Amino acid sequence: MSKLVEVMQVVIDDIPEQARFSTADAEVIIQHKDYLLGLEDALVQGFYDTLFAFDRTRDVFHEGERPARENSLAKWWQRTVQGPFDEGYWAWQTYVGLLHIKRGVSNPMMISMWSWVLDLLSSRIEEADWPSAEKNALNGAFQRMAAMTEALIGDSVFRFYLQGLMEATGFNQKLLDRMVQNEIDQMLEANAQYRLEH
Amino acid sequence: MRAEAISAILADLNGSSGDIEASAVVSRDGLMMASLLPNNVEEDRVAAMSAALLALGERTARELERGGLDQMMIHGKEGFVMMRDAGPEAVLTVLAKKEAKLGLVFLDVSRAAKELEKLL
Repeated sequence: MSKLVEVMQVVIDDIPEQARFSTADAEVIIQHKDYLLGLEDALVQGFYDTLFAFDRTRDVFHEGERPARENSLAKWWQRTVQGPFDEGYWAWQTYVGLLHIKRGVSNPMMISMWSWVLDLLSSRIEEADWPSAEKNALNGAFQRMAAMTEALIGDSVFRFYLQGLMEATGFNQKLLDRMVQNEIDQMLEANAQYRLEH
Repeated sequence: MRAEAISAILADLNGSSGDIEASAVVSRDGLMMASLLPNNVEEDRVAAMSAALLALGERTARELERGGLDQMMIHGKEGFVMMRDAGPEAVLTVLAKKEAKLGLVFLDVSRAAKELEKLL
């Protein structure tokens, strides 16, 4: 098993089964793929308009790179709404974490843009002429997909950052854990004013 | 029993030369195994730092094709810190005075590290 697939599995295993993206979620998304594919232009345009309207996220991109990135997002959307949600799909989302380290995309950037995507989907799903139970099922499927993808990307950023550090220094995981544990009590103490008092 | 034997090796080492002020044996993942360190030293931190420095030294020696690492030394304005490989499981950390005769200290540290390696 590759390191990437290993990371993917560890992250997925940490998500409570009841909250995990399910087969039923996959089915409901694929069932609505025609409608969802029709949202591609709005999704891609709005996504990059948002990123390019803010200095810090705009700075992630090279000059003239936007068309290529829009194309990547469009391909991701096409693949996402058509499935299958197999190991290859989730490994791909985990790989995005590596790319984010390379490109300097922070987790706040990634998580907030997922929120933007969910807002767009929710408003477009609301406009559709479907029973509310169907709308709820589709919204729920995307909520769980977002949580799973955010977990995979966010945790792979953290884990591969540490992996890079361990490869470069020769530190092992136990040693790193111990070093952090040695320091964490002082950090907790230094920030004690934020502790919730009961 | 083994902890006592490790402590005895450290006591011998510290007593072998007036130049040696303190010593400790630390596992490769940064856990303190035995120590004769000053009271003001935070043992957990020293243990983790020793293991980290030895790991970094080994990584550097390998990358620069210097072979396996025997020893690392930090020369501070107030003295020396030495970290010596004590087998696959442990690191021997020694604090020496700034005016220490390093040749003799190296010899004592090397001898202690070999004894520890046999024991561990």
